[in-house]
Amino acid sequence: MIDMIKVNDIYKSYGDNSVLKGVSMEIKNGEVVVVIGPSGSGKSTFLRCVNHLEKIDSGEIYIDDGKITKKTTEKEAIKIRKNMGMVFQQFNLFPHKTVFENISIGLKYIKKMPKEEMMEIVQDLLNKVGLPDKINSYPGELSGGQQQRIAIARALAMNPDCILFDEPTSALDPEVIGEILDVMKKLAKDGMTMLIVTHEMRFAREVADRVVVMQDGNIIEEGSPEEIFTNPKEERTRKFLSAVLEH
Amino acid sequence: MNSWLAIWGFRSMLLEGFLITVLLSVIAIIGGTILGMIVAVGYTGKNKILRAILTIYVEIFRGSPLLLQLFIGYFGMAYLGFELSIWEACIYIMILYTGAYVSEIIRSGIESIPKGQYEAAKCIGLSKIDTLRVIILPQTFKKVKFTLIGFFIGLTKDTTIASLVGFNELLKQSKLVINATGYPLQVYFVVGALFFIMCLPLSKFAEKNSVKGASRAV
Repeated sequence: MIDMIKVNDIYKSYGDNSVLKGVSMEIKNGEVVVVIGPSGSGKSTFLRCVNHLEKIDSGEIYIDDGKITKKTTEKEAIKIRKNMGMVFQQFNLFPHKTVFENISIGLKYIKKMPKEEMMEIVQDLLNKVGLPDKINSYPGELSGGQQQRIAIARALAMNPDCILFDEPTSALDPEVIGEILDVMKKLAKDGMTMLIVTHEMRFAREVADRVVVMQDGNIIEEGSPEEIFTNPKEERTRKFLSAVLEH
Repeated sequence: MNSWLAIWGFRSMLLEGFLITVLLSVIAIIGGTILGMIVAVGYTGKNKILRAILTIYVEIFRGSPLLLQLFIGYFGMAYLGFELSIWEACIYIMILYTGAYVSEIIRSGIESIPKGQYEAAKCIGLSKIDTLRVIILPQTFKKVKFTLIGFFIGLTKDTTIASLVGFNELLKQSKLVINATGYPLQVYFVVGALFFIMCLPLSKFAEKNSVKGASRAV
């Protein structure tokens, strides 16, 4: 059970290009935090640091008793990721596995669950994401929106306390974005802790408990959706929002 | 007509050569594929010394003629005091030769798997070994299947080179039959037909799978 994620002053750079310049944040149990900001602001990198897909250069990330630092090994990271799911922009489903195998892969190889039990869980999850009849399909037979819903089901299968979403709708056609957002709204309503990087401002406004605005590797402003979208304090936030909301 | 009857009289010799060639090819393919897979996986690791050793192995066996390798394996090793039977020498060399090529084919396949596949496996919590075994290698084999089969067909035909160190595979046996019957053209025709039969299952396998692969969009 994750009570809280606390990010303390993390830095990250690729060669000379510093992407995160001292980012700090707290996420409480059940909270939905949406990170917005222009391209290249470091928001995806930030998200990927939280579950150690990217190594941080300095600072700490506390996840309950666990701690990620510069020295965290892949072995320690596996333990930390156990209570965290992740949904990617490109879905990253396993193309040679059926929907059932994709969703149940963690149950099979980590929890060593018997097939009947996995079947029940997978069917439940497919109902939840609205694809009850796709259990035997291969990812290549599904549309982008359907694949992303399967990817969400896969992230839910290990029963995580928190899910990280890395621009989950950016690779999708506009007409199917709604179906992904609906699934995410449902999760938020069920009390799932969520950290979401997205360009969907309406969604951020509707679902987020807190909106975080990043630019140039820093958090420039954070607050309730109401504050950020109607009355931003920072000029840079205002500029960014007017640029994305006009189009 | 007489010529075919004469060759028919030596059918057991040709059959023996045929079976020996099949056996040598199958051993080289199975042994070489296992070896190649281990080398390819070793190459994806971070150990620089291991990678250097594997690179040397692959470059030596890919960069020199098979005939030379067989000469060194059989005559050269005997000169150094390691006396191998002709069977042992041919099997070891063919496995090492196959392993070098297969490792490069598999490695190129592994490298073509998108990074997102590893990341998804990591986020689910799969171990490194499960990630390779369940996620990466099955996709790799699917991608390199046809390249591998093409190589195996070539390899089966290249086993004839072993006749030059005196190994009694099909070509070597056929020479004995030619000496005994005096019908080179007819004997070579039979040998050609036998090689065709040997490679047929591999070609058919490739054909069947390409149809299946196309119908299932991946």
